Amino acid sequence: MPMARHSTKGPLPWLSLALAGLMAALFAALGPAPEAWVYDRAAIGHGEWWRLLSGHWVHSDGGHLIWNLGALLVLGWIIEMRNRVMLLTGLLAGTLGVNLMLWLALPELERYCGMSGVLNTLLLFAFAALWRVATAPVLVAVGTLSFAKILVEISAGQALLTNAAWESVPQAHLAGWLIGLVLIIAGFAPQADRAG
Amino acid sequence: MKTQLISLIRSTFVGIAAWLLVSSVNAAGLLTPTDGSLPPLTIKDHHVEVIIEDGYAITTLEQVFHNPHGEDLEAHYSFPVPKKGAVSEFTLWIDGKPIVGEVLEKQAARQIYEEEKAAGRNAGLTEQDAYRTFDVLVSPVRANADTRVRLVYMQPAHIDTGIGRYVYPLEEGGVDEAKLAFWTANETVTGSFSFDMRIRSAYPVEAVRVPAQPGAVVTQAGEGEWLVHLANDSAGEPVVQQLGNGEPASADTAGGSSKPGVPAYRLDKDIVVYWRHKAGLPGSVDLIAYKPTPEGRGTFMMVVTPGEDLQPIQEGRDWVFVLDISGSMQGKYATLSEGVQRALKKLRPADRFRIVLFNDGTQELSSGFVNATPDQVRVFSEAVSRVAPSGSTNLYGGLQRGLDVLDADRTSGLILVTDGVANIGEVRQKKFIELIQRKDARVFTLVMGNSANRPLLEAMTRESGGFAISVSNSDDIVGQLLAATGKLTHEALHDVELNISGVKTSDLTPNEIGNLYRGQQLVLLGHYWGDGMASVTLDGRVSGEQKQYRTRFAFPAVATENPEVERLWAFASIEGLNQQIADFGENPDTKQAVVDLAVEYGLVTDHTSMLVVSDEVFAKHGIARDNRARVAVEQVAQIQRAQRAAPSRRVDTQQPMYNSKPRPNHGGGSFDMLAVLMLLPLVWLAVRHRAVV
Repeated sequence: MPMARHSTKGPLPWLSLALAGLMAALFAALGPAPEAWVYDRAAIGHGEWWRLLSGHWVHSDGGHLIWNLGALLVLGWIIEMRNRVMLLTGLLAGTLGVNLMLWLALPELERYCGMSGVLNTLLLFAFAALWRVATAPVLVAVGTLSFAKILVEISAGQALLTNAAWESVPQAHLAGWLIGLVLIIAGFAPQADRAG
Repeated sequence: MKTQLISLIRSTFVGIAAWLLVSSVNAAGLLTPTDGSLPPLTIKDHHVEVIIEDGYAITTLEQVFHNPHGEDLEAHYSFPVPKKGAVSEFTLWIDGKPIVGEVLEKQAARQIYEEEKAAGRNAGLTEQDAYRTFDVLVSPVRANADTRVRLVYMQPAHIDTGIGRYVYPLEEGGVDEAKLAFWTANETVTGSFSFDMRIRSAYPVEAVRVPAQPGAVVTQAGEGEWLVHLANDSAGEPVVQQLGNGEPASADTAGGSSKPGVPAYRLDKDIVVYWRHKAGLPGSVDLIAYKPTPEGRGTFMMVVTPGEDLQPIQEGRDWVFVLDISGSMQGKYATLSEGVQRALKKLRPADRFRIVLFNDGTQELSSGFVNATPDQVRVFSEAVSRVAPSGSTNLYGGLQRGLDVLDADRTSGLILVTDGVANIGEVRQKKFIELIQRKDARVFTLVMGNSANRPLLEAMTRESGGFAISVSNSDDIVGQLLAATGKLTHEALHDVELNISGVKTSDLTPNEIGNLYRGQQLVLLGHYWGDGMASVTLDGRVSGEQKQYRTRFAFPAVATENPEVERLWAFASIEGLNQQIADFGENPDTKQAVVDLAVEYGLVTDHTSMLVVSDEVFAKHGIARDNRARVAVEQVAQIQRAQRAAPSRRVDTQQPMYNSKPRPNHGGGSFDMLAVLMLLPLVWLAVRHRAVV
């Protein structure tokens, strides 16, 4: 793969920063799990469609927010530095995939909030972005480990390390991970075009 | 930001100062007169064992008191009344032999205790001080020796929105000023302390959480079985000792008062434990019965866990927050403030709110109703956090002002947050009920601490059709609020009635069920005769529409595993009678009914106490050993239950009452430390190839 070095500094990942800022601002303004914003199956059934989007941007407590915020900044930065459009694509595709999983496969789950399902889509996009410049074995290892972690959590019925106010839903992580994989295989992986 | 910081510092300072002011007396502990007329005893050992199974919790407390002085002294141990806690056993070791107490009318028990105490003979007494404390008196604790006691109480342990909650209450509420002025409490355990809980459920339990006890060790022993262990002298190994076996928990029965190298434990903080059922469990009906013979009378506890079919409320509503800022709230105000701020943030923009404060008088923090916009929520959150509690508690005045400002054209709810001890202004329960009846608003009460006047608060909320939720300083305030919020934002099942046909039943309690909010279980206790299939229907209204749920199941001819259900029924019935006394005043018949039930079923109440004296003294006074016999039956059943896996008590499997609709539940997605650590190699690769395009 041809490589070209232009400089050691790139532009700021302003989209990732803006999205992270939005996530933090929502928590500061609305508090944990704002009733009108979370994914609420019954309310969505009554026409409150915005929850399919807003539910992923609000969080159940400070710890829940911090972990997801950190992951969004890291993954967003990696993807945005390669292709900003792909960051948006990943967010939208992940949102769609996680919503489908929640709606079709988890009818008993009444309410949900948090970004982690979507972040798993971004995780796969980040793999793809880095794979194009560095086919390091470590990528394979991390990818395998992340998938294994999701499977372990699903089989255990709970998250391994999180202790958020709302219990973790590893099936949402799986949905995000799989939708990312499908998009990569389908050729929607991040391209090596400079954003902006 | 600066204002917020100052506000935070101020509220933190106020909270710490308040804690320092009250901590010396606001805990469970051995009481000694503040005037120094008697030297203090010490709590040498304090071991707690809790078993939660079949919808109720049995708490066994075993203590060793030590007298380091050269004269015989009386021990007076006081602890907060656990919510719906029924003391069923008080055992005192006399000459190395455990003597189980018997329940007598309060005055008679006190008289015999005083006689024995005056004669220098061993005696023990457990009394209830209204809704505030249980008081354990033991005389004498011999000079330079130990005395060992055991106390057992049982209480319902039900599930709300998929989450169970247990509180071992230790924080005294600080609401009884006369008592606080007279006594000083020694809440330090100088020897060993342990708290062991075993949760056994046929429904899968996914997680257990002990929010305010970082030293607690939680282990899973099976799909529905969990252990919680907390101690001051071990590194996480569950205590092996078997309470209730008649042998002392502590090997030495005299001598030293502290163990070298073991940190003292202070009984000044509630131990709160949550357990969470697996998501997606269906709505269900569980039946726990006790019927020792086919031909006799049986007792049952029916637990209805609704499925999820209550829809969210869409239209904007008015909320009036009525907040107690009296002096007794000092140790709890930080929790209150945080809770109110979070509740305000949960309002929708279409909602409006007002904030009313009360102590000696009343004041409104807001000027009329305020739209619940983020700006207004922030402004009033800061205003609430700046308040410093002081003065007395004019609960009636606060409630009246809160109800007076309602807008008759909109649906309204009043959220009352208080430790609930009205001590100035109108204090009669009857007047509170009349006030509630005059207004069309539901009252939702957050009861702070262990010493609240729960009977009054629960009567008020029930009359309005609302609900009451208890909050401890050790609670996960977010979790409690989530449970409360889910109820306020969804429809409720109103005017609920439950009918059983096909099997003869009677003495059902509660008499009136009222409303069922989202996530709430319905618990019905009663008697039955015979056995066989019964039809059960649950009727109610949702948004004006009539709803009915049905099922059929069998009542057993013989059931011997849960004799404790009899005491739970008796306690619930006594609660109903006490409610009548509070509403209509005490009359001899009702009081006698309470005494009769309490004596028959061995329960400590406002009108009955549990007395321990030697076997000879029991015989001399002609006191039957009914409670000793009942305790023996219960202990045998508990041993049998411990030897097998927790069985399912669900009875509507064949014909589900809720058509397998799942119980309400919620979830979230979170990256965790491991997931974020896995990102580090990606960061490294990204930095290394940063300029590659």
